[in-house]
Amino acid sequence: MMASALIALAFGAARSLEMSLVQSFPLPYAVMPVMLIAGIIVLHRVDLVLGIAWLVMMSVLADPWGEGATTVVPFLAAAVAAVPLEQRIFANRSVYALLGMGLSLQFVVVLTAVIMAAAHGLWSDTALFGHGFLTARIYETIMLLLGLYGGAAAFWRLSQWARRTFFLHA
Amino acid sequence: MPRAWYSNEKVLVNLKRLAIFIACVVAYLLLRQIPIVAGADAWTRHQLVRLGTSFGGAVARLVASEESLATRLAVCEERRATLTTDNAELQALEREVYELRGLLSFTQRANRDGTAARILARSVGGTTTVTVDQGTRQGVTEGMAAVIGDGLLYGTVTTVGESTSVVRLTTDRASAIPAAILGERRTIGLVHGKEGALLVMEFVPQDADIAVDDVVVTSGLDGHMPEGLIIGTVSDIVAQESAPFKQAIIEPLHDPREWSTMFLLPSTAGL
Repeated sequence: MMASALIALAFGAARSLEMSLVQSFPLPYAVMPVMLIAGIIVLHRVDLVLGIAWLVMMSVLADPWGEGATTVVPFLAAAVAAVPLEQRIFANRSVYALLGMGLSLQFVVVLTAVIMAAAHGLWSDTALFGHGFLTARIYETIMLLLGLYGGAAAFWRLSQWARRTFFLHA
Repeated sequence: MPRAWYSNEKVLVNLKRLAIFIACVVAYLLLRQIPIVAGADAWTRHQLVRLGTSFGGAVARLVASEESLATRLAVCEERRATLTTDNAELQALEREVYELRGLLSFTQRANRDGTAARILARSVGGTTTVTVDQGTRQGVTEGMAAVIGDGLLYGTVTTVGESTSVVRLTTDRASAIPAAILGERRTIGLVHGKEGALLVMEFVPQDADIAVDDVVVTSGLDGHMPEGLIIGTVSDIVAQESAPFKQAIIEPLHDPREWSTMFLLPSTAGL
């Protein structure tokens, strides 16, 4: 249960890091999705349920695209898709599985957003998302993969430290 | 007799983990309502913003010109031996002093009362909203103008909490600022955020006498925003002969990411 508390602590830290530090960087560094990277690592390496909770709470509390409440639906779709992806397709704990998981979830999120935007366009003259939305997602995907690659190694070291310090096995 | 799905031990363990995670996150959010914790949290987050702003500026300068990259790399390697974390702190302080000097100059020139505020967090994308460390306790109200440097409009206060507020940047698509283009004649209208970092004033009459490089300032016609705050300059004029109106594309004079402090002006008379 200590793991849940530490993951919650990591959630708060990742939120502050992304919204205060990373968002102050110039583009394209500012699109580094710190919370999403950490969430996918939690989902794949620590606990599926906590990872899903992370994704859902992140979409509600952190507004990950700066587009308001519309962001919640794509991330809920990703949380649903994460279950079969984690249990059946990317079940092993390799870095490649982690990268595959991240790419697949990003695909689900963007696809859901595109479907929503297309549906919204049927009855509204205004665009649901900003003009540079897809371009930002492309940069974000590249940063996501780089972040997951680096994050996997950092997580391994961190988990080793946590095991020694808190006797955790997550 | 088969057991219910929720009595399965694995499900119970997962539910317990989930409950603890959610409880801890909620506790974190609630703790931030306590003034002393809120103060510590605000201080920490502002240090992150300062660090990001100064580091971001350094990175941007480094990668701005590929031609001089080798030279800059050589300089950086030479400096690496002597630079310490104090140097980074010094750069952050220098930037803050620069920003505060600008604000001080503006307040002395404009002779206005207001509230200095520090950025605690930025919206993702960096061009829609920022959260600042001043709220109702410090007298902040909705509609106040956020000003940076020597009187540049940064945004407007849209949401006010007890100790924090949300400032909507002028570049946000939902932003609408009553403004005036200072050309041969004064042309008034609403300035909206456009895609990217640009702004636009729509419904400018075809016969309005405006030109590229004209200065755009707040008009103060809504009764909330002070008059005369600089929004930007006209960078392009989009006109169709058959249309009754034309558009003025406006370029702000600042990059929202480069600032970590600002001044919130009360919604009173002009400058």
